[in-house]
Amino acid sequence: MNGTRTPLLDVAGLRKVYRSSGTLALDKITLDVRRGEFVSIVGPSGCGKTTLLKTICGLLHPSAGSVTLNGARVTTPPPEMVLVFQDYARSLFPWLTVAGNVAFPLRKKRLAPDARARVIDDALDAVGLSTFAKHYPWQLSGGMQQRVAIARAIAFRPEILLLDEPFASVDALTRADLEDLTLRLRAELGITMLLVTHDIDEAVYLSDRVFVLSTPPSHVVREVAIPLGQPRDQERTRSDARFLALRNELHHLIGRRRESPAPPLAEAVR
Amino acid sequence: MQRITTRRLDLGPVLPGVLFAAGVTIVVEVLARLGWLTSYVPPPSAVALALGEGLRSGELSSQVAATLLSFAEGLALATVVAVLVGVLMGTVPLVHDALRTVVELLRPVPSVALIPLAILFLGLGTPMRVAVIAYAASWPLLISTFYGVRAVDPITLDTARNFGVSPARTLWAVTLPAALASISTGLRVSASLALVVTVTTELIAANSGIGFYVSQMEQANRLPPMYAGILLTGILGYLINALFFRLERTVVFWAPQSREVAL
Amino acid sequence: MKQRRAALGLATVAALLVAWEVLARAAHSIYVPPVTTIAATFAHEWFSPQFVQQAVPSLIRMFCGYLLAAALGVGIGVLIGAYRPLCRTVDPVLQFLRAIPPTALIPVGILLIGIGDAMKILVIALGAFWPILVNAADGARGVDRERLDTARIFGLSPLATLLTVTFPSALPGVFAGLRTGLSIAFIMIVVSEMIGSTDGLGYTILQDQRTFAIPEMYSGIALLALLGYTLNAGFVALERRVLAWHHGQSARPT
Repeated sequence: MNGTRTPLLDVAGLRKVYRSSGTLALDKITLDVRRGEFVSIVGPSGCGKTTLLKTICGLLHPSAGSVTLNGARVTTPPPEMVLVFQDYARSLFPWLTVAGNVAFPLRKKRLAPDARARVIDDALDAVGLSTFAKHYPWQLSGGMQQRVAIARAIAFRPEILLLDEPFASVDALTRADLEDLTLRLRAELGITMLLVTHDIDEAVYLSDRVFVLSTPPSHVVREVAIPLGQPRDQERTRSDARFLALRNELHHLIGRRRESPAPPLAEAVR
Repeated sequence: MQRITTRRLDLGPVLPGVLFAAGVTIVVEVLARLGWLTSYVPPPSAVALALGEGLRSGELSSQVAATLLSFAEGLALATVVAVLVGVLMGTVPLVHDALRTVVELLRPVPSVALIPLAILFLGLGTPMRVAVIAYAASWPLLISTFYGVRAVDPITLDTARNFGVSPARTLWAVTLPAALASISTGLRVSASLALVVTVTTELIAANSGIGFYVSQMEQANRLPPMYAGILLTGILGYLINALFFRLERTVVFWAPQSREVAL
Repeated sequence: MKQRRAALGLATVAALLVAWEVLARAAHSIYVPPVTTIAATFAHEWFSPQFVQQAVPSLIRMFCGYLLAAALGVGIGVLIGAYRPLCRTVDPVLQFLRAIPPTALIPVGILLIGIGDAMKILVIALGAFWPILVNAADGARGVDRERLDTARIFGLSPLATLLTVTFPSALPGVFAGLRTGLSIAFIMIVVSEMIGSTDGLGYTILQDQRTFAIPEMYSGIALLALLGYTLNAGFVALERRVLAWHHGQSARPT
């Protein structure tokens, strides 16, 4: 493994207690993401994956532990990081057109009108929605709306994209398209990806590494490397014998309940 | 349909709100006593005293009785007429088609505009007030009754017909209980509206009631009793709203079950 | 079929008017003039300088009060709705003030500032303020968490978030309140002119009743009804344009 490169994102001993109920959601989560990587986090439902992403992003404060991005502590959402929500309908702005939504992150940046237009065009082009700039998000299908959300995120030119079960609300075919879209974005734009999902197949298909979470209070059960090479292909990769072995491994890990203290980390399997 | 909210704002821990309310009252009290407020705003303590005095002596409480009487009569009349027409419009398509335009034209006419008309025909006493109140309070009830009746599950109605239940009995035993939830919401809105219209009518042209009392006190320049009357209308409004809200809650609670028992 | 049903509705109205005409002519009562007399009086009264003298001032006062209430109600309402601690603190006082029928405050207004335009505008504003405030606060409170989070992620300041995210999200609720507020403003102008005034539509109608100018009184009421209807229709049309995105979104199954 590339031990010489310092991680882009470093999560150390993260603990999160819900203030309202006092329950411990996350218990000493430690993981890292290296520049240019595609990392997935999988776990059983209800294991606080969304809370984890929100804390990493700086929307929530950790009760203990730290999140470091590029060596700097994350206390408020940093400009290098964007979170894409699962529920696109509730995160997009219905009073703005598609182009208007994509332009939203550019408010703070003072850009000349043509520079701004170019950013918007590039972003829409990257997700394949150039012809829908003047539409309203609610006129589009679910998959297309999620693409608008992604276009909006990349218009912000982040270094790392956090994705909270982004394809859970779309149908299987659209899902495959969107998965390939994210791989393409990573390859073409060099954006690092951290994806949270409950779909194990998706995690294996997309990632370089997968972190498995336990049931709450969640900790990292295992870190699993996915040496399936690039580029990935929906048919070829998914029928690879190693793919099947890896997904079975993950299945087994998720099904296991937390009976003993967390094992030491960076135990790459295979 | 527009979402017109009448429910209370979220409360959470009550303390900051209570403190703020107490604080405001104290500030007004101090400012008024210091003479910093215009002489037309007496200290809250004087108002509270006048309220107590007015109720005890009967000067105010007799007017309260008059107001509540007009209110009750007007609301009762409105309920009978509105529910009847609403049910008819909701169940008989011919009636609906015929009356629809009339309703649409009459609805936006503010009841206050009809006060001179009512005075013309009924003079200045209670009957005039009752007529105006009934007119104003009919509309929310009519609309909610209509929609409530319309919303009855057609399957329930078909089932009743299947079992040979007569139309009259179906109306009484199936349609009305099912529409009851909507009707009770309309009743609550109508009740609040009825109180406001009662007081308003009394302010404009009356010889009794709290509104009459307030305008009398204003003319006599007796300020603490005037404010006491206004305060009382607020309290009454709150109580009536709370009462009918409770009623609505109870009805909504058992209305769906009564649908099953109906046949 | 739909035209036939609409025709039946209009036919009923026509039938009622005809019945009124016939009965009024037969009864010869000054309290119930025939429809044709009222119509003639209406044309005579209101298509004349009287309209400018009586109706226009009423409308101007109403709009002044309404706009004042709208500006304050929306501004304060959105703020209260957006910041929950503020909401909790102010709530009991708001609920108390809200329960007082606005018309009851007219005598207070008369005492404090006399029976001029200022009093009417103030009283109208006070009446229309509450539904606007409550609905604006409701709208602001209902903003989706994800939208607010998105604004934070993109580094927007709290003020920018309030203006570009919270406010547009709250617009449907704001408009619901504005609509109620408009009908209350309309009622308040009529009432305030009936109680303390020397001109205006409310005053005119009441005065007509007192001086037994009966057809004039009816025509005044008819004008009020017409104005009320037009105001409401105008508002609905405006709302449909401003909230086109909201109607479009709600129409779709998510």
